Formats: sequence, structure tokens, C-alpha cells
Amino acid sequence: MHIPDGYLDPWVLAIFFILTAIMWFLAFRKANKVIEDKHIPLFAVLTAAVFAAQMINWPIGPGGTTAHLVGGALVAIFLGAYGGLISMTVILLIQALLFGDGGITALGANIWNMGVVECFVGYYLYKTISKALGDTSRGKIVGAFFGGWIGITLAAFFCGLQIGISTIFPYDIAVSVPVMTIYHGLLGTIEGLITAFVVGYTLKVRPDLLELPKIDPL
Amino acid sequence: MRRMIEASTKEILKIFRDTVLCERYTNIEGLFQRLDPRVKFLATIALIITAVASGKIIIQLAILVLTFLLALISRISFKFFIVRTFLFIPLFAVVIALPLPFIISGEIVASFKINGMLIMVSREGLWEMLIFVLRVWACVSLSILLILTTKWNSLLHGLSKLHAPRLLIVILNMTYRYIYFFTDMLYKMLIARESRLTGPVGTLEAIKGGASALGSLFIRAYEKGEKIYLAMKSRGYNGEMKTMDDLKIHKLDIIFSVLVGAIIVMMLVMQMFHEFPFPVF
Repeated sequence: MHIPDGYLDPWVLAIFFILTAIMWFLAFRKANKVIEDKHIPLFAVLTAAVFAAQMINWPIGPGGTTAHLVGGALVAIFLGAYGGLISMTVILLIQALLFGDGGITALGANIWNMGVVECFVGYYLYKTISKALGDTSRGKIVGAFFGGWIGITLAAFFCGLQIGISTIFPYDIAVSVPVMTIYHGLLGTIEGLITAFVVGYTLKVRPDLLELPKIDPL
Repeated sequence: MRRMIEASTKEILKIFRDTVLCERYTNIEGLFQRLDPRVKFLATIALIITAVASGKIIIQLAILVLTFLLALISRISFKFFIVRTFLFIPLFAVVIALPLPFIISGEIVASFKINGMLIMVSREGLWEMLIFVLRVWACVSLSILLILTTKWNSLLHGLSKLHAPRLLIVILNMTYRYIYFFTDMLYKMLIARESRLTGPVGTLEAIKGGASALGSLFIRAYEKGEKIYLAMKSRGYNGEMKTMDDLKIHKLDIIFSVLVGAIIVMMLVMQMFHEFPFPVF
């Protein structure tokens, strides 16, 4: 899912960098208003925890196939949509600038997929579903599952779109979009399950953590 | 569960190993280590964009050679650099591009029969594959050179001088400090869980177990965050982060920027006008 350097055309890099930059501008403007001194360490450690969580290899089925958590929906459920975007931005920056995971020039595209798309889709799906199911624990868990699953699937759709419309990538949209979307749509059920289990666990042990103030557009 | 721990352990080890290696090269006195982080950052981006904007194999090769020369001048071991840059991402690019010689039509350079099916290899497909892999390799080497030679602190400092939001820099800085802490914590939690098991568990059970470890990690992170804030507050934290070193553009930075600029312009000119007497595509 992390697009490396050398996969995307310059104009694709530029478009998604600009789109992401607009979201950054809105998110940081809101965050600067809402966030207090004491929230900053909290924000940072949660982000570090998601980073650590991404390192677990989840077994899926036979044959040694494993999947990773991306965690965009999960972190957005805790911090709000803008909060999730900032958190994923930090994670993706560290991965690109420190570990070489995901390209430096592709940061705009990667943050668009895993920061903007996954956090916003995941978070609002979670909110809508849990509200529709009457704001119960069960509703929240079901919402978290669909948020995680659909969030990552749509992120993968955008990833396929970006590499597909790039002429320097050898395959076009007709191949890249279905491959990415279907593959991650299947793997994404794991993301949904983990998101749901973590939300379920938190509801059982410290439900107050899900009710903290969030950084949201509204 | 055990497979999960084994695979995750490898992942975690990779992170720690990368950090140690990175630390080793940032402290050597080489060319890239002496440059201003802003100059390095912008030069790397400019060169990567040149590589992705070009469809000529000669330019990809030139950028790759330039990067390896820069790595050499920066005193990075050649063997290490080749392995580190080629092993993951370009190798994966090879896998992605592998079908190209067979599906792109063009001049046939080889053909063979498997089970009565005629398989043809085209020259155009081979070139397409080669150029894709070389481009990815060139780009990845450039970013890895930047990563290997730049201290995290000075990179952050450079980013903040390039007007990245203050909040972003503060969170980046703190997150970086706690990555290793939480990775270690998570690892211990997984091992502890494994040690309490009496037999193998199914996939869903393993996922559930791992997820409650994650839930517990999140809750601990919250509690840790509150403590960190109080500890920082008691030491005089008021939301500002201060660093001691100040960045300055030296003569070396200017020379380097001019050289990189000239090389990029040269490549662009080559890209537009030059027709090579020999086939370089």
C-alpha cells in the first residue's frame, strides 16, 4: 500500500500533494484551535502506539500469508477525522524519512490514501453505523468493523487509481484498480476485524477513552 | 500465534537494525553528512522528480550512477548500499514488471514452447521492464542516501525551517521518541501472551489475542501520555520546543546545489533535444 518513489508521474504527484496539502491546512488550522498543551504528548504517544501496531504481522489463512494493520480508521475513531489525518501524516513521514517505507515524493499520494481517505471514510462510517444501531457497544463494534474494512478498501482503490493513471507505471487503470481494490478488499476484512476488536476491548476496559474530545471538521 | 510473533519479531528487528545502521552512517564525516538538511532534502526531491519525468534509460542510469558516486563520497560501503537499495522495493518492481516482456507486443527476440503454447519475448517489453526497474532503483537509492546520511533531529529542524506546521514538528519529534518504547512494549506483550498459551490457537483466536494486546497498548499509551505531560510540565514545558543547533547554508551547500541544478538542467536538455546515435531509447 505504501507507494515508493518512481511509480507515479510528476503530475499525479503534484495533484495529490495539493489535495493533501488542502486537507493539512484545514486539519492543522482546526487542531491549533482545539488542541491544548496537554493533548500534544497524548497525541504523540497514541501515534507511536499505532506505529508499533503496524509492525505486527497478522496470520491470514494457510500458506504463511500475513497482513499488516494500517490503522487509519482506528486512530480516527480515537482522535477524530482531522486528528487521524495528523496522526497518519506523522506515521507516514517517519516511515518515509527514516525507514524508506513509501516514497518521499509519493508522500502526498500516500497520505491522501491512508490519511485522508482511510481516516475520513473509516471515521464517518463508524459514526453513521453506530448511530444507526442506537449508539450501543454493539453498534460501535459493528461500525468499527465496517469503518476499518471499507476505509482500507477505498484507500487501496485510490492507490490503484494513482499508479494506474501514471504512464511510468507499466499497467493501466483497468488492471491496477481491480487488483488493488479486490486484493485489499479481501485483506481489509482483517483490518476491520482488528479495528472492531480493539474498539470492543477499549469499550470493555476504559470506555471513557472513546468519548474524549476529537479533532473534527465540524 | 507463534507464526504471528515470529513474523512480527522479524519486522521489529528490521526497524531496530535500520536505526542502528542509520546512526552509524550519520556520524561519519562524508559529503552528504556535511550538507544542510534543507539542501539535501530539496536536491533529493528534485532528482527523484527528474527521474520520474524521464522516459529515457540513459537518464535513469545517469541518476543511479550519480547516487552511487554520492554514496561513495559520503563514505557509505558500496556493498551495503547496493544491498540496502536493491533488496526490497526494486526487487518487488522486478516482480511487478516480470510479465511485461511477454504481454507487450513488438519485435520478437526470443520464443519458446511450453506445453504446446508459444511464448514470445518482445524487445519493447524487455526495455519497458528494464526502464521501470532502473527508475525505481534510482529513486529508492536517492531517498535511502538521504535517510542514511541525515540525523533525524537535523531533518526535523530543516523541515521546520521549510515552514512545516509547528504542531507537526512537535508531534513528529515526540512520536519518534516513543516508537521504540511502544514497539518494545508490544513485543513483550505478545511474548507474554504466547507464554501463557497451552497449545496452538486458530487464526481467528490469534487475531483476537493480538487485537486485545493492541487495545491494551492503546490504553497504556493514553495513560503514558498523561504522565509524560505532567513530567514535561514540571520541567517547564509550555508547548514550545527549542533546539540548540542553528542551520546555516555554507559554501559547500551552495556549490552542491549549483552542481545538482546544472546536472538536472543537462538531463532535461538531453531528454528534449539529443538523439543518440546508438539505441538507448
